[in-house]
Amino acid sequence: MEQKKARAVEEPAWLMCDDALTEVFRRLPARALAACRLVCKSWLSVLTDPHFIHEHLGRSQQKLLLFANDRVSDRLLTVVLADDIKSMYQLWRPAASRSVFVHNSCNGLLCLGDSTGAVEVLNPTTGESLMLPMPMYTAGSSQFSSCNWHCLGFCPKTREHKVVHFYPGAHIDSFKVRCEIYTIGAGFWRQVGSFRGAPTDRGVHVNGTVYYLTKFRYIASSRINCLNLETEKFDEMVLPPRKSYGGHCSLTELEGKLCLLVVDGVLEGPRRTLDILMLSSDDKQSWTPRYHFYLPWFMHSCYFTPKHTLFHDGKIWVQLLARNLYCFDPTSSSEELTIAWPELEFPFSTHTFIESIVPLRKDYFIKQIQ
Amino acid sequence: MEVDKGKGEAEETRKVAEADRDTVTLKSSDGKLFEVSKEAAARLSTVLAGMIAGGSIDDNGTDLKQIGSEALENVVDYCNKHANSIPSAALISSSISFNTAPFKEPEEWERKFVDRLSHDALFDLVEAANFLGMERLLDVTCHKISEMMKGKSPDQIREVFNIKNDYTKEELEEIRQELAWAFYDD
Repeated sequence: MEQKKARAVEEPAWLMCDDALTEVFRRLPARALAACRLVCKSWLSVLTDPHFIHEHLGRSQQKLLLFANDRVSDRLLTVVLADDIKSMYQLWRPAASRSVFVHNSCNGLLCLGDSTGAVEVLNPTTGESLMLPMPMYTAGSSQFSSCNWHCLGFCPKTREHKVVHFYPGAHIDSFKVRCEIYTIGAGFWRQVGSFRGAPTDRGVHVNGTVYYLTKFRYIASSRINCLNLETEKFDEMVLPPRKSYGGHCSLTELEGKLCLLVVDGVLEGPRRTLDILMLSSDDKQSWTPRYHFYLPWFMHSCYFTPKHTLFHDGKIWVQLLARNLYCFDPTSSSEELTIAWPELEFPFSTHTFIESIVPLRKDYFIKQIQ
Repeated sequence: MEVDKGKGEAEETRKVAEADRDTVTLKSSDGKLFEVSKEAAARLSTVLAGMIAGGSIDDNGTDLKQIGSEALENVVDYCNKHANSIPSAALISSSISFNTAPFKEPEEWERKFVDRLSHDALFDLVEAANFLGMERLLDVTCHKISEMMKGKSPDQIREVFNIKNDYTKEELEEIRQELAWAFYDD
């Protein structure tokens, strides 16, 4: 017994092999692992192992994240994050007063934008962030811009995160769009090329591919363009045949699959409905009607599809206005949306989110450790 | 000829008796022997289950050279307590679906079981559970460690677990610069 005590004083108490340590880390939530990265170098080397990071990511539970700017403070940039168990926490960044918005979320990272067109990738779980160099085309960007937008994606094969930026060409040509890509860790933007067809909406990332809609004259003649993030090659699909494309359609990701949202109904007719068609992952042609529900009465004269339509916890979450979140439960017999949250005091955007320890730099002192 | 046959029969009966025994004997690195219910050992440890099925259990004490007597005593204690407390059907299904099923909170007795352990004993038990492929025991011990880490800063974690900080000032400063965002509550 005395021998044991003597050992604890002389050596670190934590004498665990990497194998067992990994077993401990596998079972810790990402928030706790974020602090563990700073404890010592051997812990950091386990926690920055790409295989470990992605295995841990696969075990984390998806959350619903509400993102908002706190406008009270001037010298701080504060964002409010709330999750579906209705707990809120705040993140702040000193000496920044701009408002930011979320382009999209992927693997626990948020791709943030502001009105100047600057892009920052943030891991809110670890607090780590990466300010990307200014993109080549910087005519500002907004949460709603359909011709100038960014999208963060992930190639499962190469385990690289990439930010794509679509923007109009130098000569205003409504049929051309330019694309550049920033690979996290690379440090610079790369021009990928200029393509026919201007996006009518922001892109959606699904499993290593960024999809966006382009319109030629009629909605029914729209195409779905796909940019494969691994090969960086483009491809296109036609919209599934349909009697009518009514008011509007847009793309979203639900349950890991690409979905098409179609608002149906005429202006003076009956209530508008939202149809959700899902693309089968192994066949680029087969779309299946997946969900169908009525939009609330105040959407009666509305053409647009909801900006944030998400799948979480077995339900469809729809953000219709800046401060309201609605919910559709496919297991219930009702085809109505119900109010998911009481109206909040501030405008927010809704995203699905997984807490992760995905790092934003490649070599966290790994060289020094070896 | 007759004698040989008799010897063979004796051997046979001894083997049958061995197979019928409902405990197995485990030997720690420092040579101490522990008896554990065969059924519980096979149910809770993938490694012991494999050894029992493969017939590599030694009647005079199966050598577990990687596990000290203190940790092995805890393993055996855990197995015996487990055998008495949880219906086996529920446990088998939970161990099979472990990789997809969310973690099940420790039971009251499991909580007490790990709470009484010193840090050293707890870490040794994690290693033993990892070596023996005991998923549930790993869950329970790691849950305890995660509770000890919850809400703590890197400095506090080092203090609790007595870990030496091997980062240089410059390295920590470099990391801090990258952590531009911070939580309000921290």
